[in-house]
Amino acid sequence: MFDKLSKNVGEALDFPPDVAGNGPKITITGRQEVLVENYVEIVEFSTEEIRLSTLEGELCFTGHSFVLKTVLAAELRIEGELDSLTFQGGSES
Amino acid sequence: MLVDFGPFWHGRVIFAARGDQLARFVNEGIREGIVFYKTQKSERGLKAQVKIADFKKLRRAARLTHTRVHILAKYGWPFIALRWWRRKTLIAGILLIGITLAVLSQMVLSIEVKGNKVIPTEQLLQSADNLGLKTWVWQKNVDTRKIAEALVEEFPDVAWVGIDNQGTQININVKEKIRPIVQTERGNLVASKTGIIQELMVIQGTPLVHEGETVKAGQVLIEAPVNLDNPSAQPKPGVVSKPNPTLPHAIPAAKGFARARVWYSAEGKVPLTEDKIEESGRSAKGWGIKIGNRVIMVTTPESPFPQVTKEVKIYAYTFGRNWHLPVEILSIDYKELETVHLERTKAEAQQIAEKEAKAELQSRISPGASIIEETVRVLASSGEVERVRVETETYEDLAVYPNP
Repeated sequence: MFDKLSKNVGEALDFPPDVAGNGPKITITGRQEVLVENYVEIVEFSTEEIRLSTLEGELCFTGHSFVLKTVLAAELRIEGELDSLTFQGGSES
Repeated sequence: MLVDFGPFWHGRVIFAARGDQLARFVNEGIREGIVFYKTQKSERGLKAQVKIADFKKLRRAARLTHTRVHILAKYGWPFIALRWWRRKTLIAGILLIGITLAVLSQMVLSIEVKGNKVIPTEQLLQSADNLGLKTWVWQKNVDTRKIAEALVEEFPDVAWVGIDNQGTQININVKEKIRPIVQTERGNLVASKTGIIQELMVIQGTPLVHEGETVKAGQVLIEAPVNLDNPSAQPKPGVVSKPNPTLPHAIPAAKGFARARVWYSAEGKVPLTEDKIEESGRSAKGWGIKIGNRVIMVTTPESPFPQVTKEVKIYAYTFGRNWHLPVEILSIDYKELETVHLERTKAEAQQIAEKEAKAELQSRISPGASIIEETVRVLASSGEVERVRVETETYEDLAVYPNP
């Protein structure tokens, strides 16, 4: 209810979506570095695959030589060779 | 390159975690507020780094997820400091040595006196001690210039004193005054060479040797008369004559001759075979250009002879006083050298040896001496070298005044 309200207000006031929404913000720099903000928790991780749960579904990175450079409560910095990024499950509320 | 100093300064614990729920372990850790760095998964589990303070918080997460954690390495300053703290006696010792050295290097530890011949070192050291220059005092408290000046004033025989310090050692460099030498031998006639006195003629003074006596070089032959003044003259009563220690009473000189026989001998050595390097007379010329230190030869770049002496002439062109061409002309004169193999007969070698020996004698015999006898003796030779000894007997006047 509150989410929806804030989203509508955000839209009305022309806020950028990362300010108004609760979904993850993903910044990919080249293929080597990925910064994920606003994730919920780590589901699974290995050197080839990292799966994170977010409010908008499960976020899945595949690639190789993944290292979690820094892991903070709201921010995750990944280093490695990125191949693909997919969302699984979840739906827009 | 900038090195990230933060991890080193705060310290990091590198650990490995093993278990089935590693992702959950990380999530629980995050919930505790732990920040994971360089988290990496391998076949044996998880490897990550956390701050020192965060490491204890891992315990709860590990217990919840049945994960076993063990430390792989400890990195950073806090661990180094801890190691040092355990060896505090050693550190304290090193510090103590450092401080002691620093303190001692500021002190005067030894004093050396150099250059004194007449004034005893102990006396100079004692005076320096009284003036404040002694061992175990601070170097900065010693005013070397003042002390040097005071020492010059204190010792009349000192011309100059310089004090310098080499680390903890202080050197007192002394230059003594050169006083006129009081000659005791002044006016005496002494023998210039060793010989046998044949004829002694005393005009003034006392003879100390007699004819037929062998005298050594430097021996007093005729002593100057002690006093020629009127012996009956008495000093006036009440007048004390002051003797001057530096300028002795004018002593009249001894006069006379002492003719003696003097022997000289010299030896000449000449080998029968000899290799000499001589100029052959052949020569070659070459010229080139010199630019800076580089030489470019235009003709005859290499010496045409195997053995050579080089004569290099450089022609530089200058304009006025300060301008000169950077290019100079260079000419080289190569003069060939050759080894001359000399072979002499015994007679030739002996002749040359005799000549050499005589030339040497000639330079030693005093001018004006009359030669009585000259003998040339061929010494036993070893086969390779011919040795000739020339002995000369002269008749000459030996009596001379000693050099002042």
